Amino acid sequence: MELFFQQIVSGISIGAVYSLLAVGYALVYSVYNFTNWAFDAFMAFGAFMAFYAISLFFMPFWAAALISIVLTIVLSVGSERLAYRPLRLRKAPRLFMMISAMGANLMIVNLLNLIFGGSFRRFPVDAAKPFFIGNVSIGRMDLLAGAISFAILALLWWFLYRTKPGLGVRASSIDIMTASLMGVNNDAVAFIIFAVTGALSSVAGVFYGIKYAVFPYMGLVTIKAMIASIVGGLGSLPGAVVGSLILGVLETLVAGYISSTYRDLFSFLFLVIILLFFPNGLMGKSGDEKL
Amino acid sequence: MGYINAIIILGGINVIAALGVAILTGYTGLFSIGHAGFMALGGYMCAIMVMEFNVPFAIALLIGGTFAGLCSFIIGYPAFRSRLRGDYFAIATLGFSEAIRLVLNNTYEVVGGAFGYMGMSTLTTLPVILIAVALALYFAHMFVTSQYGKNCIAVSQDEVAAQMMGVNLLRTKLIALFISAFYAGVAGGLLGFYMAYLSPSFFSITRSSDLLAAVVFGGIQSLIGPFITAFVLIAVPELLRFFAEWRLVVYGLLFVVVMLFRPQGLLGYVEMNFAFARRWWSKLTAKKDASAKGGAA
Amino acid sequence: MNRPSSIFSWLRVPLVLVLAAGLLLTGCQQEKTIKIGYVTEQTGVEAYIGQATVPALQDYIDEVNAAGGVGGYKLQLVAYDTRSEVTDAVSVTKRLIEQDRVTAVIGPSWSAAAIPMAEIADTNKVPIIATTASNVNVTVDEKGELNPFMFRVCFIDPYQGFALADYAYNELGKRKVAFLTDVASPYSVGIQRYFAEHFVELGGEVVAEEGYQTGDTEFRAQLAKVKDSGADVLVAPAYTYRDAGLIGQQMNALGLTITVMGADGWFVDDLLSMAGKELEGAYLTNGVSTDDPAFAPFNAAFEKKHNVKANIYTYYTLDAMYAIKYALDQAVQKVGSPDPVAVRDALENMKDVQVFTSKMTMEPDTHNPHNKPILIMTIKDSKWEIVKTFIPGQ
Repeated sequence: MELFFQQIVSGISIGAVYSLLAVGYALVYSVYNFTNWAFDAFMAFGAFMAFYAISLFFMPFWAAALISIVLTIVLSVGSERLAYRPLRLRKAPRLFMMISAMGANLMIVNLLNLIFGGSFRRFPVDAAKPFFIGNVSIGRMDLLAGAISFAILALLWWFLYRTKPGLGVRASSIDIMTASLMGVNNDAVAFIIFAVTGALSSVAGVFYGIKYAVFPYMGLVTIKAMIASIVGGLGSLPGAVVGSLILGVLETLVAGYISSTYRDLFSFLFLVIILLFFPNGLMGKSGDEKL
Repeated sequence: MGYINAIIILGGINVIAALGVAILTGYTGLFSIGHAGFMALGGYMCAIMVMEFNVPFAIALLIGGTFAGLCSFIIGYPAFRSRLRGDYFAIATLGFSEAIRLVLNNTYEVVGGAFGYMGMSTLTTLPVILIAVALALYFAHMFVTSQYGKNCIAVSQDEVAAQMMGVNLLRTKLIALFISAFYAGVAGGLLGFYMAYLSPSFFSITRSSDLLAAVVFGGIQSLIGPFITAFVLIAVPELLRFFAEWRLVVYGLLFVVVMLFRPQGLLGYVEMNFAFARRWWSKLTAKKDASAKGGAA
Repeated sequence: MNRPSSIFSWLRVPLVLVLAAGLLLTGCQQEKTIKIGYVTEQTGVEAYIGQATVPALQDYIDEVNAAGGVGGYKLQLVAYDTRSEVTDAVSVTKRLIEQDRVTAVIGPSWSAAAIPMAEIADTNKVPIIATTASNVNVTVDEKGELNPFMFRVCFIDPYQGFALADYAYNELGKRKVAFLTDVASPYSVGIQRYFAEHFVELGGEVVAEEGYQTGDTEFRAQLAKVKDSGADVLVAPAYTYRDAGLIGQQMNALGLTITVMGADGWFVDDLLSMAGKELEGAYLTNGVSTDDPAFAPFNAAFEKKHNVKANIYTYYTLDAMYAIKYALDQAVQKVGSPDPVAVRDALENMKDVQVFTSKMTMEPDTHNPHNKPILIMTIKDSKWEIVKTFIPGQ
C-alpha cells in the first residue's frame, strides 16, 4: 500500500510540472489553433536565465525567478511578432505556424547550447529535505511547485473569466474574426496570450531545473505536456490540467505495477484508448478542424 | 564520390518516405508524427526476410512495405472509426511509433534489441535508389491523379461534403494510410541495407518530424514540392557544415525565414505533371517531323 | 547582350587571380598536411562530449605542429558534428574519408554509430579509432571476424560488468542486486547483462530489473520499486552522467539509501557538482582518474584556456590522438608517407606506447587495448577516490 501511495504522490508531482506547460499549449491552441512547438526553447531559456541570475549575479531566488519570467515573456512575445504574426496576418494554415515554431525552437535551443554549453547543471538552490508520512516521502519542493502551479492556474482562470482583457481572449478563442469585428484588438490578445505562455514556460523551466537539472535540451519533456494537453482536449485549460495529472499518475503506476521498461508503451496505449472514446479529448471542444 | 553518393542515397530514402507522408498529410489532410515507426517496421521486416529467409532484396522491400502498411491498420482502423483527426490522430501515430521502438529495443531474439540488427550487407546502391525513387514518384503520381487520389483531396477539403458525394471516408483514409506506411516501410528497408545495420535509435521522433517538415515545406497537395524539399533537407545540413556548431541554429533560422517568405510552402498546390515533358517531347518530335518533311520537300 | 559580358570582363581578372591563389594554396596544403578526422557530438543532448574534446585535439595538434609536425607534415583537424544521429555519423565519415581525404578518423563515442562506421573503414581502407564505443561487436563482428581497420581505446562492456559484479559480491558483500538500465542504450544493457551473469554465477540474486528510455529524467517510480524489492545494491550503468545525477537526487528524495554502482559513463566531473552529496559512497568502474595528480596541470590549463572542464571523453579522445600520432610517426619512418594502410599496421602492432593516460598495447586479434587496468572508484566528500585497481588476466 505504501508503494501505491508513493507512486501516486510522485505521479501528481510529475503531473504538476506537465500541467504548467500543457496549459500554455492549450491557451495558444484555443485562439490560434496550432501547437506551439517552440515551448521547449522558452522553458530552457527561462531556466537558464534564472540559473545565471543566481550563479553569476548572486540574486535571491525570487528576484531570479522574476527576471527569468520577464525575459522569457520578451522572448515569447518577440517570437510571436517575428515568426507567427506575419503568417497569421496572411491567414496561413496552422501547419505552417507549427513548422515556423519548430524552426524557432531549433534555433533557440541550439543557441543556448552554443552560448552556455551542453553540460548538466544543478540548480543553485537547496532543495529542502523531503518529509515522510509513514514511509511515503513527499518532497517539499514538489509541494511548493504544486501550490505555485495551482495558484498560477487560479490566477489565470480569474484573469480569463473575471476581467475585460480576459473576456477579449475568450471571445477570440471562439471566433477570432468576429471578435475583432466586435472591437477586440487582435494584437493585444496575441500579446496577452504569448506573455502568459512565456511566463508559464519560464516557471515550468525553473521548477523543472530545480527538480532535475538545467541543460539546453531540457525542453524535450514538453512532448509529454503536448500529449497531456491533447488528451485533455485541445484548447481546454481544465482539460490540460486533468490530462497532465492523468499522464503523470499513469506513468508512475504503469512503471510501478506493470513494467518500467514498457512504461511508454502502456501509457500510450491507455491514452489512445481514451482518445478512441473521446475523439476530441476529455474536455475538448467538438467541431471540425481543418489542416 | 562516396560522400556525394551518401547524400543522394540518404536524400533518396528521405524522398521516398516523404512521398508517403505527402499522400497522407498533403493530400488526405491527416497529419502524422509517427512515420518513423512505419519505417522501422518495414526496415526490420525487410532485413529479416533477406537475412533469415534469403528473399531477394527487391521482393523483401515490397514485403517490408506491405507489412508496414498492414500494421498501419492497427492504429488506423480504430482511429478512423472513432473519427480521430488533426492533432489527435497525430498523437495516436506518435504513440504507435514510440511503442514500436520500445518493443524493438527489448526484442533480443533475431533483431538484437538495443544492440541493433548486425551482420547485414550493403545492398542499397545508387542505381537501386534511383530506380526506387523513380518508381515511387511514378506510382505516387498515378495514385493522386486516380479516383482514389481525388477522393483523398475531397476528404481533406471537407469530410461532410465528401461523404455526401458518396466517398467512403473510412476506406479512403485507410487506403491513404496504407500507401503512406508502405512508402515509409520501403524507405526503412532501403535505409537498413544502406547502413548495413539497423538500430531502433534510427527511428526517433526527430525523423518523423523531419518528414512532416519536408512535406509542409514542399507544399500541400504537391508531390514535386516534398520531393525537392525532402532531398534538400538532407543536403542542407551537410552544406551547412561550414558553420560547424552554428549549423543547427542557421538551419532553424532557415525554417522560419522560408515560412515567412513563402508561407504556402515552396510548391504548394503545384500539382506535379508531366505536361512539360510531353510538350518538350512533342516539340522535339515536331521539329524532327518538320525537318523530315523539309528533307522530303 | 553586351552588358553581361562587360560585367564579366570586369570580374574576370580578380576571379582568375582568386582561383589561381586558391589552387596554389590547396596544392601546397595537400603536399604537406595530414588530415585527421573527428566524428563527434557538438549539438544535441550529448553536446558536452564534443565541447570538451575538440579544443583538446586542436591544442595537441597545434603543439605537434609547433614542434615541427610529423616528418615534415603538418597535422590538421577536421571535426564534424553528428547531433548523436547514426545516419549523420555515417555520412560525415564518408565525407571525411572521400572528400577531406583524412588519413585516420577518431570517434565516435557510441557503439550504434561505430558499428556501421567500421564497415566504411574497411571498404575504404582508412583506420578509425573509436573513443568510448564499448560494445564488443565494434571491432569484431558477431561472426567473430575482425574488422581490420577499426580500433578502440576504451575497454569493452564485459570487462566493466565483470569487475563491478566481482567487487560488489566479494568486497562489499552484496547479495541482492537491483538494476536500473537504459533499455535503449547498448552500453547500459551490455554492462547490466555481464554484471547479472557474473553476479549470479558468484551466488548473488537479481531482485529487480527496472528500465527507462534514453532522455528520461524521472526515475522515482522505478526507485520506489527498488526500495520495495529489498535489494542491497543498485546498479545503474547510465551512459550519460545526467541519469546518474538524477538517480542519486531522486534516491535521496525517496529516502533510499542502498549502495549505487555505475560505470565509466558516470565519470564526468560535473556529476560531482550535480549530485556529489547524494551519490556519496557510490562506486563506479573507470579506466583513468581525472583526479590523478599527474593530470592536474593539464586540467587546470585546459579549463583556464577553454572555460570547459576536461572529462573522461577528453582523455580517451587524446589517447586515440596519441595513438594516431605514434602510428603516423611509424608509417612515415617505414614507408616515407602517411599511408593509411601503414598507419593501420602500426596501430595494430602498438606495444607499450605511451599515450595520454597510460601505456597502451593493442591486441592484434581484437583491436582492443590489451589488459587496460580497471579502477574501482568511489565518491567521497564529493570527490573521486580510487579504492581498487583490477588488472585483467591476473
